[in-house]
Amino acid sequence: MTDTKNGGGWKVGVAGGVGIALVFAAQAIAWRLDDGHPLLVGLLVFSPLVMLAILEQSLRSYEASQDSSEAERDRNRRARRRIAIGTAWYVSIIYVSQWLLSMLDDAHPVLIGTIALTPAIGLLLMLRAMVQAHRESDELQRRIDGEAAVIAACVVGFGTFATALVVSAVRSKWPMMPTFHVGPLLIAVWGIAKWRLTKRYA
Amino acid sequence: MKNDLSQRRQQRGWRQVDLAERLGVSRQTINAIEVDKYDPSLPLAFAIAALFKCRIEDIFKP
Repeated sequence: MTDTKNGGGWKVGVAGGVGIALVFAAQAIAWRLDDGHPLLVGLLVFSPLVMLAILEQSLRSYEASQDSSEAERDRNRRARRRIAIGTAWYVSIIYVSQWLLSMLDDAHPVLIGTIALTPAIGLLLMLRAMVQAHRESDELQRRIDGEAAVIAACVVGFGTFATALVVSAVRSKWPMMPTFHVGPLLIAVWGIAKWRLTKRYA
Repeated sequence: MKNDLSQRRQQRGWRQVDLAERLGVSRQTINAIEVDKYDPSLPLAFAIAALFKCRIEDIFKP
């Protein structure tokens, strides 16, 4: 007999889905508004933060249903707090930097580049949090993370390469895929692969 | 690799999370070992053997 508890994962999925839908809805509303509308920045900045809060709550209830140890919960809480700080930095600064850039058409390229890069500090914080979480996790979790990272690298590497082949063949009809999408794609595929692998080892 | 970790744990009246806390790993790791889906690292195998006061090969069978 084992005391395996695999239920509850769907709640995290639903919460994540609701959060993402909320972000998209906010972006859609914001897109319909005029520049400078007071609701615009509020929607764009706070909707990802609301999504994070919803996800945090659902992850806590998932951990409770999984009978996790206190040390494990502390580790997960630390990781989520670090990632939330990076995310909050990114979503707060990206709009400020875009607003500044829109007013600096004739500025020195170094200044423009520096302002354009400020949101990337948030991404660096997120990436550092992921590496720290990997180092602090136990051996099975490290194996799952590692396998998921290899799968994500292979899938995104193959996907972007194949896309580039198709796009270069019909470049007059399709736009090139921006490299901007590679990072989020890697994280998304890594998350899906991690979810599948976690189920395999359960 | 087969093992009798589940029986040994239950003989002591421990839940998976109790054993996980004693070994400093997650409950999922204990579960994966018990259902033969994951072979522990050598340091973890030694820690398990030390906790149950036996040899590694008494618990794990190829």
